[in-house]
Amino acid sequence: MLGEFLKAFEDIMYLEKYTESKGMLQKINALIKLLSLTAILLSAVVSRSIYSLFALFVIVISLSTLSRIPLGYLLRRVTLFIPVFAAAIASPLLFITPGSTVAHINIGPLIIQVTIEGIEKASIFTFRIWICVAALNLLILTTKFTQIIQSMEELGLPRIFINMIAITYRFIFLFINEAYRMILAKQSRTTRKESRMQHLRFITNMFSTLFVRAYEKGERVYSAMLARGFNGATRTHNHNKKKPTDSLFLLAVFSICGLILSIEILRSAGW
Amino acid sequence: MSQNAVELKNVRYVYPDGLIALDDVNLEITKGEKVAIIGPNGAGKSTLLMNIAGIIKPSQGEINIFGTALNDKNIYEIRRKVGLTFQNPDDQLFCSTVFEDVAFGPTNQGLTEDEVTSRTKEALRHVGLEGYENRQPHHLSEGEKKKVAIATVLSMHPRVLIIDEPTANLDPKSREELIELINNLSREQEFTLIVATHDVEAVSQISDRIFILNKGRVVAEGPVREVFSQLNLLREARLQPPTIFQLFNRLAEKGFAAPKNMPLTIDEALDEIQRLRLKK
Amino acid sequence: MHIPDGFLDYTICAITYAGSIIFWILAFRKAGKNLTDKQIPLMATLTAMFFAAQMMNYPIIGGTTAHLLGGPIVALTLGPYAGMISMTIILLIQALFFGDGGITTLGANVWNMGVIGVFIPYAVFVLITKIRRSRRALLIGAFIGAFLGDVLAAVFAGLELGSSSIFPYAAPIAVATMGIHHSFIGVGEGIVTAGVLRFLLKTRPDLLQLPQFKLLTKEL
Repeated sequence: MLGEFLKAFEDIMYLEKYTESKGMLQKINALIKLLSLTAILLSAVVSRSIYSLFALFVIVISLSTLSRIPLGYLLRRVTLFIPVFAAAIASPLLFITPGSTVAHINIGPLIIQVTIEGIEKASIFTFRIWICVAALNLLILTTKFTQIIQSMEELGLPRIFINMIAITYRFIFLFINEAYRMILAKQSRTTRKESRMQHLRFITNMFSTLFVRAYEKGERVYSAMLARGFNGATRTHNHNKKKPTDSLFLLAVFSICGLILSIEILRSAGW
Repeated sequence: MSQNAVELKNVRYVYPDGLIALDDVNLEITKGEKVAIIGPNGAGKSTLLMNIAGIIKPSQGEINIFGTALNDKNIYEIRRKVGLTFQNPDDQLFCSTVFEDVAFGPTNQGLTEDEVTSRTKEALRHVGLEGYENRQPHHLSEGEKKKVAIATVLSMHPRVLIIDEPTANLDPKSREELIELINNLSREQEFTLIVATHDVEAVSQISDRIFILNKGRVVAEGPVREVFSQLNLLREARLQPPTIFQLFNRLAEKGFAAPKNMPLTIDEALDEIQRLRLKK
Repeated sequence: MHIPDGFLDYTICAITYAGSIIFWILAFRKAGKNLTDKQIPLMATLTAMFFAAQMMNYPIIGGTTAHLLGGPIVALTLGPYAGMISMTIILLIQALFFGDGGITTLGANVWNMGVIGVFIPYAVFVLITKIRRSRRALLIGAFIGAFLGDVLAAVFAGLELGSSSIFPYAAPIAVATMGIHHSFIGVGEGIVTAGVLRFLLKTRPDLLQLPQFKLLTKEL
């Protein structure tokens, strides 16, 4: 139960390390980055051939290196969990996909066949997901969340919504901390294994207590806003200026993705 | 023309659930004065401060800020003149970067971007946190959060600065720093300072005059030494004078010559002891 | 339950984005009118709290653990429209800060957990409290609503995965797997949802805004 919280703390503490280094992606405007990485994600989703996926893989790895993210760290962060999980989902494909057999596994009278088509299907599925998770992580590792909020503002999302995201983001850490301390305090007084029901009861009590605290905190934050002249219409000054290099980067990513997409479309049309 | 920065006349505040938080409170704070409001937990200190800052309206009575009575129309103008720093900096800092938080007030005042930026820089310089603009509040230490919280108010250029419990939850070093910061600020800038606290040791270092608030009423007011001499009143309000002050009181009881001005701080005590030694 | 990028076809992504955006606009029209200045910080701190509370996991079957989806309790405390906005913010931060979920699949995740997972519990709750108006009916409504909300959200996730050509299994398998798994999660979600409401009814009924609660507290 504490594991989740510890992982969150780790994310909070270490993510910023990479967002502050002066790599290539860190210098790109957040909205541009969001758009380009979405283009890469969409290309990966559309691509059926291993060659297109490999091209995207090379792009992702190069971007990561240019952004001074250690390769080992990226591989560990990306591969663990989602792609491993995807590989597990895909593993039955090795056996159930019809095609030319490359290996047999004999379990008593049962003969299980592994097909080349099965291997291809499973590895393309897993590889695609790896690329996608890596692309998302490139965004996360090189962009501060405050910049993402600003880019959503540039996208024209409603002011109220932007304000709410910003305040929520600010207080998430506070409540994660509070929940963590409550769990610690409870575990220090837990001296035997609990039943499922006892566990759910603890979650219920903790949830309820946090609810009341969050409500009261919201009221106090509102007072603090009033004290500083808040009258409903919040204004902000935007500091996100786009540079020519940003447009150049966007153009480059879009053309590469466009090329991959057109090859894919031509292929599926029977070329 | 009144010289009072803040004036409360028969102020009463009743919470929606019927709890009487303030009862017939009268106070006058003159321009440029440094006062402290002390009282036990639940005495109504924070409620009083929020009334003065125009965040909540008194149920009865009148509040005048620089001679103007607070009403619904001038509330925003009053809030601009009276800056309130909340006890818990986690309530005060709700933006995702230090810059945005310090800029929130001036931005709401409708200043231009350049003005907002320069005021934010200036406020952070005043609290000794230059270069903290892009830091995120949740990464700061408690002492730093308190300083940023003060900066969020300084950036609005208030004429009255109110700080609720400035020294609560701080380690000794941060506490010292904060007291020094408040003293520097009130020396450099010409504002009226109101501090609410139950840190009696800090009171004598920050303020000239104190009010004791107990159960929603002002039970004593006057210069620091005078109020701390009223031991019975303090006890009733669950407070104690500063340790040094107590020590000299006890010494006086034991027959040592009582100094004319009872020392409140270690420095004053040292001076007094020096003087006693010279006499001998 | 958070579908990452690379699991859904772009057509499914587009359809679910469209569906979510329609509800999102509706939510802003509806909630936007009632959103006073005060509600902004209030909703934000509550959303942050829901985020943290959802991180707690509980054992389900065979040594596996699961998270609360959160939609039901958000729906019954904030109302469905504000609840949907709150869930959208949670899913956005989960995807773009913690890497749970994805960018192309955000529409699908919002649809499953922010629309289905919020409106179904609310609708079931309203229906059951209409049939019987008592404290017990409130809690039963919350439990059943939360359970069905979770299961239906999972069924939709299964449908989206199953209809995607890049996902290797057909819809029946995906729907069955997701649905069965989440029926266990749904029981836990139901117990916690009803439990939190019971706690709040007892200690701070003033914080419960839905008219169903107001009627009950007036009667008591």
